[in-house]
Amino acid sequence: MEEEKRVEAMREAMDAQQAALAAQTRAAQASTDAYLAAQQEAKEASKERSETAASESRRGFLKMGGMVLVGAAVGVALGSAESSAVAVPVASGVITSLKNQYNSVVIAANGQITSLQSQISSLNGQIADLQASLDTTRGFITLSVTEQSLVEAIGEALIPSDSSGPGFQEAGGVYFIDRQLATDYGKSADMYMRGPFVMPNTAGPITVDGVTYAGGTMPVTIVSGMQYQYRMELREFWRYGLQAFETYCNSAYGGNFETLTPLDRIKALTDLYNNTPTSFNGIIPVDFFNEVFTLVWSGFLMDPLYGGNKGMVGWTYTGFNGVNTGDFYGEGQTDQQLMVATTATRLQPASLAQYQKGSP
Amino acid sequence: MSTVINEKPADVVLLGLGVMSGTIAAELSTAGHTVVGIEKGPYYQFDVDFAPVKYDEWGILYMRKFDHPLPLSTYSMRHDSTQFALPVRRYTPTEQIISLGHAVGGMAQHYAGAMGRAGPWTYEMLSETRSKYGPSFITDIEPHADFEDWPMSYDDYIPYYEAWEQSWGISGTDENPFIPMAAEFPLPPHPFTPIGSAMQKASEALGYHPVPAPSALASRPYVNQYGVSVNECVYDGYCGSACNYVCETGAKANAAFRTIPAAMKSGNFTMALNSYVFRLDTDSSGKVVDVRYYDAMGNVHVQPGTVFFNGMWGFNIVSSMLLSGIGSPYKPATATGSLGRGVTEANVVGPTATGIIPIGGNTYPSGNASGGGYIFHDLSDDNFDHTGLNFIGGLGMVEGIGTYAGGGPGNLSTYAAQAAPTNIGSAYKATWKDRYLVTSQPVSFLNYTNQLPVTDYYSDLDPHYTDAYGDPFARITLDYGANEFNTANYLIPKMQPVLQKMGCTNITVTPAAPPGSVHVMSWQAHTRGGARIGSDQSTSVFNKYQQCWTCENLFAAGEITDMTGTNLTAGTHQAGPGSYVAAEGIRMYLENPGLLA
Repeated sequence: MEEEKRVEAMREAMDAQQAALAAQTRAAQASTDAYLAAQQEAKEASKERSETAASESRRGFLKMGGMVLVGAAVGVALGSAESSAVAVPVASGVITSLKNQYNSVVIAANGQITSLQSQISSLNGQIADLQASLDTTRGFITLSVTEQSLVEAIGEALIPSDSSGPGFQEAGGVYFIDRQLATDYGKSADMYMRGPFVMPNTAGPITVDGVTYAGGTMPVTIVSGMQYQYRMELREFWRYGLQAFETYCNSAYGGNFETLTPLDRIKALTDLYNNTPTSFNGIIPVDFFNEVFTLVWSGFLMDPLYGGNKGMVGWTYTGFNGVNTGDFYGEGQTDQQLMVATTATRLQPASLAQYQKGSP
Repeated sequence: MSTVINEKPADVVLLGLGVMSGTIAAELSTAGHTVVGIEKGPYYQFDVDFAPVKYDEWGILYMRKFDHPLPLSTYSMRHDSTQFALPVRRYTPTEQIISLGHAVGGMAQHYAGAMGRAGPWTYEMLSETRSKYGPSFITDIEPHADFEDWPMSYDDYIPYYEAWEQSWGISGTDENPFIPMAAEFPLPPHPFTPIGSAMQKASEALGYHPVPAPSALASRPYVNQYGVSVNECVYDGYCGSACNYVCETGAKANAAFRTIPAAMKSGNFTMALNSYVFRLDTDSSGKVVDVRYYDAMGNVHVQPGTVFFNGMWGFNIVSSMLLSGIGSPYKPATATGSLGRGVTEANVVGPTATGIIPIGGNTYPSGNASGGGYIFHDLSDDNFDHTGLNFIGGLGMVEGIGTYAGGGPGNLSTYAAQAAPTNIGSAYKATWKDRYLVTSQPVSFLNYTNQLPVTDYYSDLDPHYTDAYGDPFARITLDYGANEFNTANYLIPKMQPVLQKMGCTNITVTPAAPPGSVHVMSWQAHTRGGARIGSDQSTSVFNKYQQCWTCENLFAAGEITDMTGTNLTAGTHQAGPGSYVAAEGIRMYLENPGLLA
């Protein structure tokens, strides 16, 4: 059949791409290994020479800043924690010669590092491109180009990728939000959307459809089902809110949110909560903050089926089990044990799709 | 273009197929009567519809995929009659927990299954208080108090409680000294949690009388009086969390899995699904002759019958009768009329008492929503002396203390309530690191109080908003009163010694927010009253047989027909016996029509 052939061809192409990718990765790894070995050798050679020089001279020692810097550069480039200072004797002829020798080694090593770094970075880019081309579910349905970067930046500010673990970006939270805005959530499909539209916590008297209410409207808590009294659907609410937020960041902090310092990002978000922006496209800023906060965290912690929490990184971070009720990967625990246990058992999370498939 | 379709008459016509209608369907159809049930939602089967897709926090808790669609209808809410009422426009994971009942099975599709009988005092609250503490004790607390004794006593209700508990398969024990039981609950309690056991020991040492919290989740395989088989709970969590998870084994009691199957087997029962009742038509004698409903295509069906049972969700009972011109609408200005009168809500007004107990475990979903814990009634009802106090009733302990930690995943309900500037960035993120693997856990006592019905609070038709078909829906005027705040402020500090005895640290008591402030009374979870039963026709809509005073072939049951609130959260358990009283009333009426006495 024609279609089967096409699928087969696609599979083959994919296999070939994957093989190429693997080969490239191996090549990069080999280069890195070779470099590391060379670097180690150079370092040992340099150390040997230093020691020789040291034994030849009984004078005082001088710490050479350049060496420290080289050590630091290597450390940064390759994740090595090593950055030791090497002592070099102050003895005119020997020193100059050693210095020259050593500098030439350093220059060569740094050249190699730079070259390898750019190779690695280029390979990483190629890998990312290949992965993206193989993943047909990563893409945007409704978020505009400017909204994509803004939502991504807000998400990173709220749930940063940091030393404690992956954040909003690794979870692909922006795809969760994109999908929600494009479907029932964004369309307010399950919301009561008839008028009149009157905001909560409005002081009286107010007149609605010719009826006057001395008491206005009651205050409600921010997460109440009566808080949202806007005429626009949530997709439009986000569009208005994101635009207004960017405008506010420009006027209050001198640039788009994405360009602000981490501290200013937090300040700008805090302003939303405190209703600091006086003009916000007709939206109460804290309502927008609340909506964004909830959706961002949902992009980190809801089932991967919805596009976020990629690889269940959010669940791994929080120690959440998903649908692993104790034995999904053959751990041998039961719900009945877990529900009365007095110590916690870490379970590898399982997703809804895995559960429906019936196996890891 | 819509057409009018005339349906065949039935002996009994059920408006809505929720918990209450389920009882009527089973009782009357198995007794040989023809029964037609009209339900606005679909009929979900737990094994087919729930099992593959229930473990879905976003879909269940946020998107409410099995719930009533709010575009079809909703309700509006305000705190007093000078205000414009705001419509509930959306569900939220933290507050708007009510699902307005949808699909066969109704509200019980989503609940924790917390059960327990209302004690004898509830049914005679007014006369008991007056005789013990003086005639003005209640009006000193609430000058506008507006309630009577129930038309039947606790002893009168016992056989109906038993029938209800059997059909539902309640688990628990009969050891509660404050609520005497002639028969045990049909099923034993669920296994206790370490926190539940700690609470039991601590409260016992302090002289209280803890009992396992009764639950509507089957602790064993079970067959009820209709021969309907029930699966036992599999304890895999995804059960509670604002009560919204559906049950994939049918262990969580729900009319669709307890009573409706019996009716279906009888051969006398027909269901009209995705059908929205909009009018009850009466004749010149004031009796209902038929109901009209829209089917999924928008056609109008006319369903005639002999007896009609209004088993709609909550205030839809009130609004459907108001729209049909049945009953006497309540007028708050003069405190006259009965339909819409006496609305109350059992809920947490704060304060709360919380502590941290050094017991670890997994707090991700396992167990179920209402098992595992203990409850005591020593500080409920009039089980302690109220002399000199400024409230009646007492503490309701919800599902009990020590309920399984993972009744439902708490992701959404936690962070959705924590949107704040302090919760931005790495520090807040770090609070989520291994959050589900704990070495200590919070324990909290919330106070579900007795809200006294007052003349200020009621339900009527909203003058501004309409449902999808252009009819007005219910508007609720309701706020907490002095009794609730006084109860909470007095009793919650008494939980401090219990927490101490349990070995808790970091014990804090949060004071109640005063009336009128922003508080959780912006949603309805356990609302009662509005179409009450009673002995006095001027303040009640239905008599003790749950039969309408002014429309003798119309019956109803549900929390909405309760004369007073209780401090049980689960109005279902108190209303359940009412459905069995109504079933008996309907049987009597079919044999011998007329107002029952």
